[in-house]
Amino acid sequence: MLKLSEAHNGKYMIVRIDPACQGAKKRLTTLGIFVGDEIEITKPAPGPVIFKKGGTSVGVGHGIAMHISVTPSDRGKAA
Amino acid sequence: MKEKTIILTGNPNTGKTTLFNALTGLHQKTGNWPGVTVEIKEGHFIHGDTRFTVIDLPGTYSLTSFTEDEKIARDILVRKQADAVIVVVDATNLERNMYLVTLMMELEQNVVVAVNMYDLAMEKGISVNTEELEKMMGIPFVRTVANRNEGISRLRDLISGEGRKPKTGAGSINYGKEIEEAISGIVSKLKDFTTPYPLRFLATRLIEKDPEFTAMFEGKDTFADIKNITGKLDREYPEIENTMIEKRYGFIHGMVEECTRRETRLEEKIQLTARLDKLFTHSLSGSLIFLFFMWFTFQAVFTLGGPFAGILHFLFSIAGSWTGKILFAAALPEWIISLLTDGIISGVGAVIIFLPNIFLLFFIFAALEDTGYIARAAFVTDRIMHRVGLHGKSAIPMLLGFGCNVPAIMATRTLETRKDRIITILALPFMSCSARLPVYLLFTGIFFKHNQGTVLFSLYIIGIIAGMLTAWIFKNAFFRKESSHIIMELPPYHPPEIKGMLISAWAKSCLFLRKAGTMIFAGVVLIWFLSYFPLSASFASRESFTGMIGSLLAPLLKPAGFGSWQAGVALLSGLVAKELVVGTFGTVLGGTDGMSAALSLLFTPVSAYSFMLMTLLYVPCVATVAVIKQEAGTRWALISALWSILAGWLTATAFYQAARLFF
Repeated sequence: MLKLSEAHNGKYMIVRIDPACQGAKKRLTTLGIFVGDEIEITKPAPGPVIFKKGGTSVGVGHGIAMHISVTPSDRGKAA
Repeated sequence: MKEKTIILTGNPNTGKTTLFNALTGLHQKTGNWPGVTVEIKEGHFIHGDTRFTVIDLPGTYSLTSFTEDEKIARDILVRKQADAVIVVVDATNLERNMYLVTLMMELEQNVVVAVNMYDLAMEKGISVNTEELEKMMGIPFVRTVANRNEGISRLRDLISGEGRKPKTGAGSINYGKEIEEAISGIVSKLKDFTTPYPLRFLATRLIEKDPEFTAMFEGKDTFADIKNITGKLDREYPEIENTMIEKRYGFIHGMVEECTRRETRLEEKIQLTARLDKLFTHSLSGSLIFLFFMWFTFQAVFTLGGPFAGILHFLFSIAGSWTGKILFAAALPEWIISLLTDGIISGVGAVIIFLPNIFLLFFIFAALEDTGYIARAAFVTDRIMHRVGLHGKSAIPMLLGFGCNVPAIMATRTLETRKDRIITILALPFMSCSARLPVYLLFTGIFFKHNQGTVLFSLYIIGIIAGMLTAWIFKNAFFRKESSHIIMELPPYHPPEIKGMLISAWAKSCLFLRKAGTMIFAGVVLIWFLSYFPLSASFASRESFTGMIGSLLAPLLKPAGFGSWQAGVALLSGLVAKELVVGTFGTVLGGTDGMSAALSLLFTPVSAYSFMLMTLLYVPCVATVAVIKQEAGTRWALISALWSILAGWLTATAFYQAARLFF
């Protein structure tokens, strides 16, 4: 398991969003992104992390990316 | 003729505003980043024997309001009893977009769904079976390509039939046994309650702890029973709000899977967007590209706009001279000749000659918006913005502020917390709006002929630095503990549409022209009046009323290097609108021709730069102060006005005094 801010390009599964970041979690949820979802990082840190799920491409500031935990997805390759 | 009201809603970036234009024929700004519609726009069209009023709402993802503009959209959707609601969905991203449709169905509105940007979906190999969707959801769907008017006529026909209320059972979401039991329990408690809302919708809002709906029941007899039901559910589902959203998405996912077909063509475009994102949002290359775009914009405004501005200058000079001769030959009273030539033609003309530069500025901004770059700029600036207490998303209103501070301040409604809004609002007046451009163009044209673009760029950068410093100071003084972060949907890159860019730039340039014909016209007439009287004084002399007012201000401005009464009165009139600074110089210094010669006597290059710094930093205009009052309250409006005057004077004085040591 690693932070979203540490992840490289590739497919990952979101495993946890820090409970302290409820606002961020709610925002991601309304965008249709949930814990347990598979995402594909298209632009890793430094700077904002950009990932896509389905047809939605979402940018997450570095500050928030440090509070989202991901794990490399079995279904895809993650560096 | 019958009258009907239609609400247009949808997620940001679904082409909603383009569809609004196609429906109503009205042209308004369309952008390519979330949150472009910050005001409620209304348009009309007639179909058959009915006149339809269409209300274009700010883009929203759900009925949960995170930001001020989402709150506006949600309030209207929930409270306004429209005849029908058009939900615009992006055909290339149906699953995320359908979430709002399911909420509209829970609200039991008459819904028509416009599956927009269908051409892009086809390009990406996505096809949507709208007939199947209609069957499953029980509401009408229509494929549209708003920018080509495709599907609009069918959409009008469907609206004439007022859309369709969702049939019971069709398209309704099953939240699972426990939640459904809780919904039924709450509905039974609400049966005797008079409400405009569907009871099932109310029950789901209460389960999701929507503060507005919860407040409706607080203190009522039924509230304890409702709390009892929701409390049980909370124990079962600790994050019930997320669970409800997940259930809705689960329902949508199944339906979309059945009704859409995808080919693999999508990958290529995604790869390109990803590659561009790596470049445009990288900490180093992204920042350099951002700075380059800004520098390029101001260079282009100068080099491309200059010749056209020169032509206008020439035309106004001829117009002034001919008008004077014709009126003199017609033996009209001297004061009428003076009012028309010294006042109106010189004053208004001095401002209008910069129209080509302003058009170019808006045209380039429209291009940056249209390509999807501006949303990336928010991320590029996020880190530095955070350091000074701003939010990365603040970059969007700040960039808009280079056009006009008024809509930029309203665009802060897209920010999620009050702290972010207030700090951004305080920083925004330092973003150099297009109204300040004529002042820079005038002074750099006289004093910095060989490096106009660079001097102009330096002023914009100083404005940004002043905004950042303001944010940092006020964050530490008033909002030390609060912090928020950026999460934003990023639209795909696409080539800008020239027609849309021209419409956007022209619409904004028209606002500039309208301002020249109203506020600036009135201002120059007033300045002429004050310059013409008393009759014992020569026109625009130190003994005229203008001269007397300017002379009162001059000692205060002397330490900053521009202690002439003309500069004092120009800055005073600039409080009304910044263009009036130039308009006033035009009136009191003898029009577009005499003004340049007179200014080169009144100013040196150092004092000219100091004057431009003052113009950059002090209160943008009364309209900006008024909109700050509207958005943040009287206290912040006063703080902003006083702070900017102080910042302007201190910066100009410090610069002038320091520069005098070297030049």
